[in-house]
Amino acid sequence: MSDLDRLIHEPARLTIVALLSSVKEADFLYLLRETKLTKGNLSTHLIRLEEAGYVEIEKTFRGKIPMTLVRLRAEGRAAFQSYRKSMKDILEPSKMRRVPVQLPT
Amino acid sequence: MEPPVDIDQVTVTAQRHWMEDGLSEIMVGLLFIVMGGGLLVKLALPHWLTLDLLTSALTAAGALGLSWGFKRLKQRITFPRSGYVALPEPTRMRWLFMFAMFGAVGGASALVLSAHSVVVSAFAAVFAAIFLWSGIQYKQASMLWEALLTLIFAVVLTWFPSLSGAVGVLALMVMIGASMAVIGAFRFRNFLKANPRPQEMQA
Repeated sequence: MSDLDRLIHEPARLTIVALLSSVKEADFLYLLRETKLTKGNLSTHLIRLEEAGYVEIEKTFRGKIPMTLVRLRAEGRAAFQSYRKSMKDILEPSKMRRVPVQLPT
Repeated sequence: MEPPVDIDQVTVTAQRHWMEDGLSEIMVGLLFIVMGGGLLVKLALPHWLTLDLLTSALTAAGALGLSWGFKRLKQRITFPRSGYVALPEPTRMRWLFMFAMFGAVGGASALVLSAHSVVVSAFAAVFAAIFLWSGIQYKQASMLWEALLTLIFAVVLTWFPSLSGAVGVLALMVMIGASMAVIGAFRFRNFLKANPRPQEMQA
């Protein structure tokens, strides 16, 4: 448990990182729809991830419309993979714990 | 202890999102119609080199035009409504694998078409299996319908002895393309209803 990255383990941030892990880049609207968070909440989580160096946020324009692009950085990808591995390690021994119990005769 | 979210489910969201507007189905459907139809025309016309080249060029131009139109529609209609997402670039190994697959399928198709002894039902089974796999993988009910329709088309084609062999396979391709385009159009209409263009685009 102590190996788990607490920043990623939080459900909203884990969803954001998992979404970004499977794409090259995504905009704020896509993340808003998929995470079902409020704009404020999503912004806060993205800032936390950006501060940790996990994501890269780029403010740009599509024509005259402002657009916020978000990408997972190499550090974020490595942290996500490490988190998944840690979760797997935690879950697998629990499966192996199924030892046959000897009933009293 | 379980992860707080189903990571495997979340990671396939992008692929599902890419297909949710129905545009991919319309595009692939039209591509099938253009390619299958183009080859059918080629078979029907006299085998003059100029005509062969012309039909090939028109088919290729049609495919390129569809690809361009698909990108434009995504940018103008889908992204402002449901958000922009770019799928990752294929790796070098994936490109090699894709080229090898295209080469193998193209070579096998050319061999089978030249032999004039194509079993339409075998092609239908392959298409149906691909649709079935895609439907299950990306949880797309429309793909399951496509699988069923493909098998129905194959049965219908057996009633027409003139549509056997290579012509039958191409006719099947056009029929699958038409059904994909129609299903995609319905899905596109539903997508537009469910996702009106927002006034305020970004936070």
